Amino acid sequence: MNYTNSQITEMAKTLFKTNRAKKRLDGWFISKRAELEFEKENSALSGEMRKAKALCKIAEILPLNIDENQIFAGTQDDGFARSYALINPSFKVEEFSGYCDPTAVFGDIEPSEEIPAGEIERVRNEFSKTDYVKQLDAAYAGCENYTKEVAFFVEQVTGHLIPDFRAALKLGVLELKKQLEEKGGAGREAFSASLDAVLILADRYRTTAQEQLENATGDNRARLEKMVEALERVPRYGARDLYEAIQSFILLWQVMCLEQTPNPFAFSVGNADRIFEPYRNGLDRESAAALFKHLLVFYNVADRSWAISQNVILSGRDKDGNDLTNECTYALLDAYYDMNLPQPILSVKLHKNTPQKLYRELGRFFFSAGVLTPSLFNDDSLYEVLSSHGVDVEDLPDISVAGCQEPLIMGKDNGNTTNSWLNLPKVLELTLTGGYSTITGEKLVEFKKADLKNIKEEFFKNLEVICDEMAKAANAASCALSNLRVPFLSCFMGGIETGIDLRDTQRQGTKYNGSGCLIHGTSVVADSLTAIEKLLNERPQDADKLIDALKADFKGYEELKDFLFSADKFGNGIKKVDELTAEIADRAADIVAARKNYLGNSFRPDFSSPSTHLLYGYWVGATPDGRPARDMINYGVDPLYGSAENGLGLRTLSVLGLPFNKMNGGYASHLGVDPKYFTADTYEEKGMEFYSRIVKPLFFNEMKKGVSPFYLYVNVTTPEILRKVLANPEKYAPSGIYIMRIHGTFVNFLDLSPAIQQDIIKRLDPKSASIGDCQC
Amino acid sequence: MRIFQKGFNFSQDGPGNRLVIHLQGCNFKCPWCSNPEGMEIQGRKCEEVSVKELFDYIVHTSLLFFDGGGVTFTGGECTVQHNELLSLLKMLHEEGINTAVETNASDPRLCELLPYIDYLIADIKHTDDEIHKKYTGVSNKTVIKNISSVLLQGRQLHLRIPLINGFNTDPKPFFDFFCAYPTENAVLEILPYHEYGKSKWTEEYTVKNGFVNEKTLNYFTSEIGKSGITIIST
Repeated sequence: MNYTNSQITEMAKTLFKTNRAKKRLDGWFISKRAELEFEKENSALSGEMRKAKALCKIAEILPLNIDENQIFAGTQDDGFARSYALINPSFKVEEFSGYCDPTAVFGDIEPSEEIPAGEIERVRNEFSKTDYVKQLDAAYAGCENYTKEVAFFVEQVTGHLIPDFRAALKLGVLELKKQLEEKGGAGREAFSASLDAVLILADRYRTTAQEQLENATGDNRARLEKMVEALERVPRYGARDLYEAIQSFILLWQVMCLEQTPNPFAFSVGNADRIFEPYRNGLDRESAAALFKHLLVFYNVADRSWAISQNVILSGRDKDGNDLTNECTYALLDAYYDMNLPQPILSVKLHKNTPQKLYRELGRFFFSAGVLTPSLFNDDSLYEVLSSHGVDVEDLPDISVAGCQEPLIMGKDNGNTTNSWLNLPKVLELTLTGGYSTITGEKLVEFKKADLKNIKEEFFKNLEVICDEMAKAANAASCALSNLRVPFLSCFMGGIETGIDLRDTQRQGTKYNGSGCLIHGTSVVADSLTAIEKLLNERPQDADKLIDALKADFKGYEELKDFLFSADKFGNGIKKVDELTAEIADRAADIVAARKNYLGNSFRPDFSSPSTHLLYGYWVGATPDGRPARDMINYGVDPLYGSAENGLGLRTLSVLGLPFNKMNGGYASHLGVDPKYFTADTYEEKGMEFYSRIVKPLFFNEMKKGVSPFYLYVNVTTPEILRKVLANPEKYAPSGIYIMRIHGTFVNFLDLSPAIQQDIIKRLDPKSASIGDCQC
Repeated sequence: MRIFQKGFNFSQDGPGNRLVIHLQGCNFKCPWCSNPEGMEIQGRKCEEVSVKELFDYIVHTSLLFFDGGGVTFTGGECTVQHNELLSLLKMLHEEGINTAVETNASDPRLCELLPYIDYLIADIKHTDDEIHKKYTGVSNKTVIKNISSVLLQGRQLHLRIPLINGFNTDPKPFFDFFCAYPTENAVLEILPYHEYGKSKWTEEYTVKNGFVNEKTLNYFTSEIGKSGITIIST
């Protein structure tokens, strides 16, 4: 190519604008329709082979285009529908139902001349007759009483994995096919067939580029010639330089997403700097960054960057503690900072030997308003947590993050991460009332009404019952999903070695396997039990009023509410309630981990709540800690907003006591930090201040015994700043992009539904994260 | 003991990461005070704990005393609760926890506390007794005596001057004072007037024009620096 780095950058920015102007996503529908038709006509084939051939068919018929600003061919747009709730402006917390309708996506496509309403309906009907949909319906029907007010929730997990494309980049797809054929077997035969899809796609893109070449001149001609040359080479053969490696990666990603259309959410890249560094061949940082900018644009789908929760992770350590940061780490950071796009999300693995240079370079992300911020992982802790849960030492450098924050081993771990969701405060409500909802009054489960004096043990007893039902339902959802095989993805998840599809529920296709359980509301339960104890100790005569007060959402019981609210709360460095919170987390994690998935592997406790603290809170009545009915429950392992008012130090102290060793499914924690606490003059110096004041106390506190925390994301801003942005976006976000972190992902704040915007503002919870002793 | 505020900060009130405990009650009444809620001796909203309870709490939080950190007592004026503070400092000293005290240096029995204080921070608001009395309501004789004594002992001392327009912006008296004593082991921090605590005043806030401009601050700093005392900022 003849373009300069700044021209390549400008093209990337223009391309992003073009993507944002796209209001329709029809590719998923065309793909799904083709797949259903093919499968109907080829029902005799095995599930894997049927899918492999259908994928090739899709690769053959999908309309393709190469924009004049693309330097790499490929798009993931055809994998996604415009239907992710959080960035859908019509999303309402109250409309969440404990049921995941796989056919609902057909309601998210506007009929058009090419795709009339009748056609949409016909395909929806066709899809609803599949074994997958029927079995999933049955799974939900079996647990309706538990899910309708979200004592728990289950879902079939699509996406949410980290493929290992390194062998494909290095050796090429033909070599992988050869390996599969040499090893043999029906599964590998299907896997090999599925790899043809990416070759078909590469050939079609090459033909398209060649057609465009006919009338191209100058720089544009050079661009297309380079593309044609690369597409002749990759992904068929190994990549020889960074340009070819990125091109190869993009096409592999595209097919992977098409295979799971319309729900390939949260596929993640893994350790991107290490994936691409072998191909840099001395290319300087600025030139590498220019190419990476186009890779980043690739991850942004249409008008709202609908492909959400795609994680890129950087840096980290090897098994001996040596730092693995390289030049591609910094080039990728440069690309991220300059582009500031809503996707893909960025994570950085830190450890005791992380170079100061990295902290200094991260400063600009944290302290530029409206710019994305990476989520931070403590790699030292992750090593401890995952190795104690059976991950081999040689695999630990490949710890990556799927989706928001779930740690998995790239290419080897099917964590089935969001399979089940557990709402502890709802279980407490049902324990207090003897199985009745205080929201609707309906009897949901057969529980004995608990004696307040023994409430904690009764709660855990009932949690065992709920978790049995949850595991049953979650496994049924996984079994339903196993009807939809993924031979292409399986090639990059250990399938070449095992010959087994990663969704097989009878035989294990990946080296590691488990099922996720997102445990919600730990601190609300601990605060509630603390308040109940205070009530019994100080006002035993009022104990029998508690349930009536909760049912009435404290109306008429305001004084009692104030009394309960004044009880000690998690997040203030108060020993007793902090220890109780740790005990709740510890025992809940044990109960969850004792449940087995479809392969007999443990459920993995994951203490995160990706906006579900709002959705599930909506179905929890008033709680004994004084929280009103339908209000949000606490986020991740954090204190409930407004409960921790004594600053970051004491909040950190509370958090340090939690059993992170049990959280092998991950956890979420957020800090809203006021920029005024960082007074250095430059971004680099502020980066070091951020290390000293935020990162070090939490992650690398030498006085902490046991496993240290391993995850954090921050928003360095204040509620006032965000209100100004909302009131006057033209002034504060002239580009229309103001990136905020929301749970593990980042999003354009202006794209969010109003409910989520307000949630972000509320959860900044400035008093809980003040630095200093709150005197100014 | 009566506490009206506690929280952590890093390296501002002593070395490393510190738990800063604000004890209720003050014998001064400085009109620029940023913690007016800490002035009343009893306090309306303060937390009451025994010495042992506070000791246990500090030990509990010691997990965060990294980078040479520990606990800092401030106020109000922490020495107003002298007896309890002395007992607590002794226990903390025994436990090996780093202690800092931030004081207005007016406690006649300050010297009794010194063996148990690892890091001493003392305000010197004005060297002139009359002016000091006019603005704070209290003579500075004991303050000067205590500070002089500490300087003469040659022990660590972190001095602070809250610099307020119309009150103490003439560097000469401070310069003269620091020239008269050994200051090799002392540091001086100059804190320009701010109004972060203004909104907390329930009585009328009487400081009208307390802000100092950059020129005044620079002049004040450089003149005092000529005495040889080390000037720091935290």
